[in-house]
Amino acid sequence: MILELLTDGAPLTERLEAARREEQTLAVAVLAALLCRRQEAAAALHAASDGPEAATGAALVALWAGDPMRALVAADRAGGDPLAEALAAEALALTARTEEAWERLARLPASHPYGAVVRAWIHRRSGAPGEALRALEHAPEIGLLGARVRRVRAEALLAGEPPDAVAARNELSAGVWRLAQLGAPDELGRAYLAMAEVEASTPGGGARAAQWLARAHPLLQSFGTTFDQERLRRAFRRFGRRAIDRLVDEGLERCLEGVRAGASRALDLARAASEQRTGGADPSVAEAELVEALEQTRERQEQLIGSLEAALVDKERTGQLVEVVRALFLLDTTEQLDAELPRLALRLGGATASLLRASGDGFETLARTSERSPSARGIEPALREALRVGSARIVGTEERKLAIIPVRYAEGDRVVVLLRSAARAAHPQGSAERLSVLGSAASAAYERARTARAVEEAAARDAATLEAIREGILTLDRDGVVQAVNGAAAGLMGLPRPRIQGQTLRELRGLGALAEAVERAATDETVALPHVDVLVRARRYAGGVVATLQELGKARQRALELVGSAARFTFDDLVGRHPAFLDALADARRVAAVDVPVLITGESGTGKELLAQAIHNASPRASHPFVGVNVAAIPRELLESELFGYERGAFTGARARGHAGRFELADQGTLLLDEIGDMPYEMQAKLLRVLQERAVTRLGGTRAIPVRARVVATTHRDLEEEIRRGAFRLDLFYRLRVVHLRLPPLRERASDVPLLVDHHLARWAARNGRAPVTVAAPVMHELQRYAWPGNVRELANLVEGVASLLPADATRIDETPPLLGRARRSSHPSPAGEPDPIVPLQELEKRALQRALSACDGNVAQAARALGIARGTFYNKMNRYGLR
Amino acid sequence: MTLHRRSVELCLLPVLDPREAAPFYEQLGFTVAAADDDEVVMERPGLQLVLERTDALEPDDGKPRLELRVSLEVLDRVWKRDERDEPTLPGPTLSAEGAFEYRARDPSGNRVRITAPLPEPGGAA
Repeated sequence: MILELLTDGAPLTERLEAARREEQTLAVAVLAALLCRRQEAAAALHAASDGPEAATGAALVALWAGDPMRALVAADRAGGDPLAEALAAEALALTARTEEAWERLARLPASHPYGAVVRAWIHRRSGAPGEALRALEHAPEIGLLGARVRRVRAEALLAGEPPDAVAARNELSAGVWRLAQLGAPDELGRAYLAMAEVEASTPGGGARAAQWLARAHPLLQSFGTTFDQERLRRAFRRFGRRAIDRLVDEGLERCLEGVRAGASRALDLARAASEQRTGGADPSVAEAELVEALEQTRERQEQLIGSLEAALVDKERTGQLVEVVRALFLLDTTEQLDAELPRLALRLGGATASLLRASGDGFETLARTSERSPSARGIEPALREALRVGSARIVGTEERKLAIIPVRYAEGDRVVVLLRSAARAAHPQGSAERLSVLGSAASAAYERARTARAVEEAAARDAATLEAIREGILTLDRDGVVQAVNGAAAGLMGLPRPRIQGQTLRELRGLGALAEAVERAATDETVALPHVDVLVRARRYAGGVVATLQELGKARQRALELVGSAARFTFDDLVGRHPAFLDALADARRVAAVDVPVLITGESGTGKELLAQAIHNASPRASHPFVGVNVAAIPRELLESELFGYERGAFTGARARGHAGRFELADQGTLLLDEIGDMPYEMQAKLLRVLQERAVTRLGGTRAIPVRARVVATTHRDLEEEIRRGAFRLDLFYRLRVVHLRLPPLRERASDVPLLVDHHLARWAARNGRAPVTVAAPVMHELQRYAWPGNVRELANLVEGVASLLPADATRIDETPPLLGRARRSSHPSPAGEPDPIVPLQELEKRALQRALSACDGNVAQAARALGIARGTFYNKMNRYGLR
Repeated sequence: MTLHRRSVELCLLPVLDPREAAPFYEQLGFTVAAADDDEVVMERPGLQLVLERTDALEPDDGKPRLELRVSLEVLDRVWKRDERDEPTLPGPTLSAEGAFEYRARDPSGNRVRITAPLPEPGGAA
């Protein structure tokens, strides 16, 4: 019956339930034992009736509880039951009485399933894996016994020559699968442990072995016998180094417990023997058990002492390693490490040591502790192998052992070669592991030294970079303490650098506003320092804030260079004697001195921007920026940010640092809003608010920035008409048109044409280094008759174009420019049938460009659109034809 | 307003006969959410499987078309069913990483890799 319990494939718990229900106490005892429910097994066994089968059951229960001696005693009461004999053989083998075990097995037929497993197990333990496999050839493969067959076969396959890890894994795979159905935790733990051994035997399987070991550990700790735990411990020693300390501690506890239990049991047995003797009974059995118990206790005491010794030795050596590593990390430079590493390695056990560096094909000696220190001679392959593998190794003969400790380092791998002292060489495995730790720690120390050096170099480079930058640079830590300041920043702050470094800005007199701007990570804010106004741009980073300081005047200059605006023209550049024109100029001169908005209207090319610049240059603001913005040329969606600026992150595509608007850039100067009539209606309201409040708020910002610039607006449109059609706001019109200057079209002041022609020809001649050019009277007459739809700009372009086409030695324009001729003809139709003169294509193209430019008031983008070509193409053609 | 996020993986699997293939996947924990002759939509927590009718499966390249993680009991059930039909069939194998793995074929012949975790420690009262 018991053998059937071992070879049944149904889950153990289900069968235990059934056995309980049916009150089969012996089956309950055996099944509970197989499930490692030892108390229940003992209780059930106690309740079971006596007899050979019960004795066999008791032997099984005792064996499963890790008590082979009790199992042996019980098996002897089973009256030669084959299973009991097999259990007894197992118990004997467990207590190293192998010969007796074989004697017991000899009484069994070879086909006995449990006997086959025990035979195989003993063969495997005796170093005969082939015999083990043969013993299992007919063993059953079902039930718990089948799972055990699989495991023992796997262990034999792994112990074979050569080991067959694949077959072993397959066996265990099938075994674990059965155990998963059965639910025997101790056997599952053993199978996991065997799996760890399989993985440990395969290349690169160390990590997987550790995982299996970790799975086996809780199962065998909780459900395994002392024999299992000892085996587990051996496995940890072999390939579970990191778990050893815990296991050693637990092992010590267990040994102590074993000694205590053994002593207690021996005392009980001694009392029992004494009572039996006193009562006249035969005390021989009790005395035999007492002898065994005492022997077992002695073994456990020895185990305890061994474990204690191992733990102490391990701790002493670990302590030395910790000290050496600590000393290693006190060294800061590569040079120090090179000098000290061999000496420190000696402290882990060695007579003499040297440090070699891999160099090309060989090794060069960097340091040595004595003249007798080993060199690379004869061991170069071992040195290279150690560097390749990355772990320490011990080579050489019994008399002369060398430890090779690789130290990986980006600037040249190194190897410590240690001539071992005899005492240390006794524990090669543990030593190699410790030396590998030293190698890893040394690698880390070298890398740390390299990093420290790189950091120092970077700091020096940063300092040099800071000094090379013309802008003032200031870095502050998270607490606002100045960490670095370059000379330019110190100069702007008016303090020597030592006074600034290590201080907060608030601690420095007169720098409160700067501190405030830096703290809120201001972007392009003007801050008044004691001696100069600066533009502050601060940016937070993980360690604090970096701020740049630019002297305001220079910053504006740079900004204006980038914006591309400058007021070059004065009233002297505005040529004309026509009364209407002179009236406009007179008004402009008067208004220049007064700080009111000005609206300049006039057709395209009449000189509106020139007049605006002239007003600026004649005003008290002349020393401040003149910033122009062509409202019609800026895309609607960008206009607001161009005018008012934006804070960082205000919208997708915004620059990370934010951007100052044209109002800010103009500051105390003049802001020209060119083509104001083309401003989108909704923008007009925002502009009106700015003009009314005299303050601007950047997009995405909250701070109001005062507007100090004077606004001059120009347009070629009839704003009153625009207001009538609802395209322009009346209130903005009134706000802009405090003074309204109207520039007459050239056709209304034809008398100014000769003056303008002469003026532009003189300019052209001066610019091109040519002799003065005049215009023949008939031609001038034609020029005066022309309507000049492009006004003065058209005249200037035409005159300069015609002059450019003159032969180098010509000084007079004698022919009417073709454009004028055509214009005249178009207004005075030519006789029927008279064909147009043939003109070269290039000339036609050039004229088309000129006309488009003129019609679009010089706006290249619009002109290109009008001609249906790309702006870039238009620019290329302008360059080709010398158009400006 | 509270937003509830729900993640469902969707797997489209061509089969020769969706209705015939569905019971195989039912034993793997799926339930039928919708079915017609050309398509059976099956679900289990976190995974929606759509069995789509096809006239011919792509050539078998030896790789599984679907990978499913199930309990040991489910895996045992699948294997035992297969074992009944083909007693020499190798059972689930234990991977080096610590899981049981079994390669089954659905009624259309699609390879399905089924994995199950190792048993939890237990057994003693």
